[in-house]
Amino acid sequence: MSPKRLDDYEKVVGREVIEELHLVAGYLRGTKMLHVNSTRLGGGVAEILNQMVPLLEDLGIDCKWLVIKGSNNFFQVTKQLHNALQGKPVEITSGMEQVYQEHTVLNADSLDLEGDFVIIHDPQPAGLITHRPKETSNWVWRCHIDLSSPHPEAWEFLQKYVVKYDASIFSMPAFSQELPHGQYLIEPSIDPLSDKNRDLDPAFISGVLEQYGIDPEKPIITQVSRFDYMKDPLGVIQAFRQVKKRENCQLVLAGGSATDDPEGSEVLEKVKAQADHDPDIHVLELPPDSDLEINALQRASTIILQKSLKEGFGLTVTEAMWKGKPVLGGAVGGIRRQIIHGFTGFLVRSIEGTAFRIRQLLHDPGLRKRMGENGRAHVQANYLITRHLKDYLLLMLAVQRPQEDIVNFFFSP
Amino acid sequence: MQESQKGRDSRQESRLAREAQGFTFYTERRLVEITGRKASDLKELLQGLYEVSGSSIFYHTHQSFLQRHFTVPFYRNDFATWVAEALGEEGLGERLASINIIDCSSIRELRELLIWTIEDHLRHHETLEPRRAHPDEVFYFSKSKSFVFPTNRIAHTLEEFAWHLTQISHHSLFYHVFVTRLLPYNRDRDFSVWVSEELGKKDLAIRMRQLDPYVRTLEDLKNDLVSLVAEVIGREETDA
Repeated sequence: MSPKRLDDYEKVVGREVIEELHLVAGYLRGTKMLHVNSTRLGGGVAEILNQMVPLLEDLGIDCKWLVIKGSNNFFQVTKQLHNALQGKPVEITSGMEQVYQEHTVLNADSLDLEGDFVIIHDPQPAGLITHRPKETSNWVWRCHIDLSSPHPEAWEFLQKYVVKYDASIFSMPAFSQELPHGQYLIEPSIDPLSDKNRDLDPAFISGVLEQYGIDPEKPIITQVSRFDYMKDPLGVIQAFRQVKKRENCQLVLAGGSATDDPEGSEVLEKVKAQADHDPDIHVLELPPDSDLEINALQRASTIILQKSLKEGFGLTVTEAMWKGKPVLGGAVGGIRRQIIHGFTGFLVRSIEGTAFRIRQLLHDPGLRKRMGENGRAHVQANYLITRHLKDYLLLMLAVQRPQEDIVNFFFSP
Repeated sequence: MQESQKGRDSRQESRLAREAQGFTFYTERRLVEITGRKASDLKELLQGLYEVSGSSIFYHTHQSFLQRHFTVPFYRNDFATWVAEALGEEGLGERLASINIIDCSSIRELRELLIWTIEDHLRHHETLEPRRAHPDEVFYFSKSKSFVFPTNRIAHTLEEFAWHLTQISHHSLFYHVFVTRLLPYNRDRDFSVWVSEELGKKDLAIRMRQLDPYVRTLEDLKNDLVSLVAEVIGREETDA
């Protein structure tokens, strides 16, 4: 596949947006930017980096992406930390701290952490700041999770690293914390030209439905997400069962796994048990390279769900809106900003509420259409990768000038 | 009579000086910074209004103009919207939204009006139990960090100005209309200032300033400005 070119996006976002990106990037040409996260495949962070890094390079930024390594034990610890930071009461033991610190040292020794801007994503690699090679570079912690009500012990553990950064990025104002540096609001995005989101041939979509034994004539309700308690797949099945009492429809629960999430297989087994071989519940365990299949499933769906109990930002919500689908999302975290209640979908707070909104939408094709159109326009205006690229470029300019509220450039780059 | 070299140089200099005073269109991009400050009731909002930076006041009274809306927004002013929707103080929300920002010549003046309006409301309702927002509806003070870039669009005449005006982005229009009015050191980038001081078209400048951007969308504002300028050009052509 040929490398991504920013100019390819002009047909989606217009010339003005592309010119704007070149204008801002002109002031940063040759800047070395390094991203570090904990998985190359699976999950929203890896997905965004896969799309964003080549485009930053196309803009003249010398951009690299490194992934930390860890044993299963390390990722068990970071998963517990992740859950605790999203509010689940978990005791952070000295043994956990030791595992975290040992892996931080191992990764710091094996990774080249040089760069003018080093962006560290999420808690797993956050400790690398203690091994910052030189003070002249700018280190930014990018938080993708819902930090609105962290378990105090977990935040205390992470905070001692985060305070050492030069800036932080959050997806919602409610996730911000008391920190001694600038905190910026940058919402995640989707790539409209990626396999996950590009237009598809209807024949391909039909083929995917056939492959998974999904009836194209029966309304399809879909939730695409990792098998994770926080995404509440068990609650989705319960809501579907309530809908099924009166409506003829089917449920698709499609999910993959991420290398940094050891809990996935346990949740998947519980989901399968709860589905209990119901022929109208399709539990699909998709490999990481299933973007086209996910795209097809979303496009074939009547309604898309993201009934999360905690969510930093639901990429699948944005993906579904981009495909013109009405979306029901848990009224938590970033989803509360993504879904405009009543216009692009509905925010739900319970299993009963989810079932009610599904039934309402199943019976109102006009509402589904209007919400779908609004959703696509909402994504076009706010959640495409070009806006995200612009924010990262501005972030690099901002971190260099933490005290200035207005930065005037008097000359073209 | 043959023109001297000195005279030619002088004319050249004055031509260059005139061109140097052409109008450069700028564009602006914003990154939102979270201040970490929040409010759950009117007193906390008031305290915040006293203490947050001017760019936070500007952000919460202007960010809505750059957003896409699916319906007519309740209010364009975040403080007004929050007070009305999260606290249920609809009367105060309406009063805050009614502050004519077009009449303010600085952020300081706007801040004082916001504060005065809330304090006046509190004085008249001091016996009532203060209302607190639901935890999901807490107000987070943010501010925007603004980056102003020159574009390659420069106008030397009203005709050139009119052409560029039809072409510029909403971000550029937002900067030249909203930002330059409230930030004194950017004032020479106000359309009306250039039209008045460089082109000597005082009447056009007055009519430009009379267009209230706070009751228009950016699209409508652009169309109204373009029509205004086109009208003046048309009249001058007829007179000539």
